[in-house]
Amino acid sequence: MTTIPLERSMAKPSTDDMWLRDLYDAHWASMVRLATLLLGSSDHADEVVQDALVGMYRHRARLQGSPLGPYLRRAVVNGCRSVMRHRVVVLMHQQADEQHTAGADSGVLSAELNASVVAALRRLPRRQQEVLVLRYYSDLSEKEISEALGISQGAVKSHASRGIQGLRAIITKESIR
Amino acid sequence: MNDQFSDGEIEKALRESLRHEAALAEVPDSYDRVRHAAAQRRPRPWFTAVAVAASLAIGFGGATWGQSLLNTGTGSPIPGAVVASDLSVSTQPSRSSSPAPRAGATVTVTVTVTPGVAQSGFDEFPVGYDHANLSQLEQVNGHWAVVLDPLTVCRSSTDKPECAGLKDPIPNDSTTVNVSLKTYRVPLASSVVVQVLDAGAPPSQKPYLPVPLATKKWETPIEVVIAISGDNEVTSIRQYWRP
Repeated sequence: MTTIPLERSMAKPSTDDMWLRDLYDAHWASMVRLATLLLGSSDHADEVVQDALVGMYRHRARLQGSPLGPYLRRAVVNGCRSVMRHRVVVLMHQQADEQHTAGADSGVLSAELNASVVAALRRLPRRQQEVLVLRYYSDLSEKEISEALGISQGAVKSHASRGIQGLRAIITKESIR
Repeated sequence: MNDQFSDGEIEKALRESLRHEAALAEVPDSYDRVRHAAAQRRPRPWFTAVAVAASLAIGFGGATWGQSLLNTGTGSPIPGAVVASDLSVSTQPSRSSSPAPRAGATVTVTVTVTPGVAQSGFDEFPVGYDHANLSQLEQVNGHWAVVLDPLTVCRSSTDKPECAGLKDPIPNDSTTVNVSLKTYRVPLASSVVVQVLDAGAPPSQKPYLPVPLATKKWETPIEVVIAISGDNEVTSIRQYWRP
């Protein structure tokens, strides 16, 4: 009779483990970077990607034969949207509390932020940011972006065009100041 | 910058800025955390209530029954896990039980193990490790085999007993620790190909390269992720990429 710790038996790699491992190896780094850009910071980026991977792992039977990259990308975009929605609510509360304390510092901070194109990007509407990040960071086609965001290709084209115009307007405005 | 900048110039600046920003992003290696999360099942409040009520109603036996159901959610085993009832019926008959189990482990089950006989010329790789250093690819008695040194992944100095002595915080959130003084010569299952990364590049950027089946020795062992079948054959082996 031999006593075997249950925990060690649970750690034995399986085909499912390798499925997850492959997905992780293939997409983890690029998706965390994408999430970082969509969120505007690395806070929660890895958590969003982790949730997306875990969600796919739980539904892997349904994903048999489907391309996993686009599915994961869409899950990450959706996860980022959830985080951003939460942030908006938190920010609204913070702004209400701190309105009376906003002073000269905010002008200085704005000038620093506007020094980069990415900072200008953050000021665009959310959907335009998403389209521009997927287009210019992930190098996706209009069709791929439309699938990732769940919008039409025409809408992708429109958001991209408006996004670039918006960037130019922000950069021009800041350079005049 | 002003209106004289063309769309093309803005697009170029945006592309470069995004890539620069992305390159600065911290990408911790969190595979163990992801794997752990994937193995969990979402709790169901109504189910918990039913299980607790059932436990209270039918006493300790019910509590045990309820707990076992809670552990598996729908009653089906967690992927990659072996439930106690499975273990009492069958185990990996020929696997070694060393190295030492995690100190924090509290659940043990008693099973009958048939004394294992290793295939001639091969070693039985210890159960529970899916990371290893790969140092050799060779042929033993006409069968291809790899020489592996088991590693364990540590996320903090208190993660496992083997991780004690590491300094927190661990860079990139995790590191691997060699857990054995011994190396193991383990056979490759048929058609399994050793896969390595081209110049260590992340798999998202470059594909894995197959290592031809020929005697080979890595002067500097490479870290690999492996899967080993119950009959002690490597069924998958590929280089582990760490950022």
